[in-house]
Amino acid sequence: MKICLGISWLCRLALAVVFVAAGIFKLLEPQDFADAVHAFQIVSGVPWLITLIALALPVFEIITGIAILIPRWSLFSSVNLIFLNLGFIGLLIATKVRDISVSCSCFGSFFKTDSLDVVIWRDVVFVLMAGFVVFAALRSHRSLVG
Amino acid sequence: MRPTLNYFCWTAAIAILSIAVGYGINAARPDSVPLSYVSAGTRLTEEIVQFLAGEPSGQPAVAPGHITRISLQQFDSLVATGDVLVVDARPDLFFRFGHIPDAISLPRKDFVEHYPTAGPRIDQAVQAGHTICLYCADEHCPDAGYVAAGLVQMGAPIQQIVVYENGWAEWESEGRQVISE
Repeated sequence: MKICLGISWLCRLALAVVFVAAGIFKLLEPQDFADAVHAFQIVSGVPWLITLIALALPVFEIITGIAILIPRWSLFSSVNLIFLNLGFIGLLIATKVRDISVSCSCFGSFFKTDSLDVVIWRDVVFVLMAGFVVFAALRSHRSLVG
Repeated sequence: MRPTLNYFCWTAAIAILSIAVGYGINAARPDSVPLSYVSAGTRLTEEIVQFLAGEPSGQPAVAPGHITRISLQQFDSLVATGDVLVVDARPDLFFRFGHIPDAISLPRKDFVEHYPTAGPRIDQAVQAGHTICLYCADEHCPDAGYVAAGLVQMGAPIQQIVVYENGWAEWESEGRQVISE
């Protein structure tokens, strides 16, 4: 049980660092991130929605990244990160299928972009990590109740 | 049922807070994003129109997709002739960290600010019949195409402009010579 909670804590810490950093780097250059959102051609016909995503998503990532470190909120934050990353994976697969040339801008425009395959697998790892946090939290809750 | 409801309420609260904070930060920024998104190409076109106000040399913008793309081998052949001016369309900071030898900087983001410096060299190269070859970060990066379209709008003939498609990422991964400022 202790090992399980230890691994869960490490996963929470890693996810927090990744998502807080990703949010901050996007927030520093919101126009670049808005251009990246537009390039995916999912909401490119709805200009206000592009701005909404470009302004709100980085803050959502930062809040969720901080909240996952707080025991009371870690379960809900982990579930949110699972849905968020599943959304990213779906978006990236759709982009690959449609053969659109984009960079993921996962960490804003500051870093060299990885190929979409690498980004998809990285997001799968994040889903598994968040999934493990959920598993550990539910298991711990059950052992406390039962 | 209650934990599910709690989860949805919590997520909705975080989403509303994110929107409020995101728009609040944007409102406080000097370079705030417009509430209705304007594409990078349109922004550049509008900046150039303002820049050219009253000058007769302006031409209609072309779509970045109409600019000829070249590979590294074609780039090498072009450089070997000596009749080329290489233009780096990445942000100025990246240019200063490292760029292709003999390249000049004309970033898409600060096109109008950099044009008074880069413009005379580009005009000189165009008049000499040289090719203007632009590059940016990699094959996904649209900036070289936008700057190329901007140069056409500024009066450069489209036939003399090409984009080195794989750009900086390929140049660096091939271990080619890099110049830092």
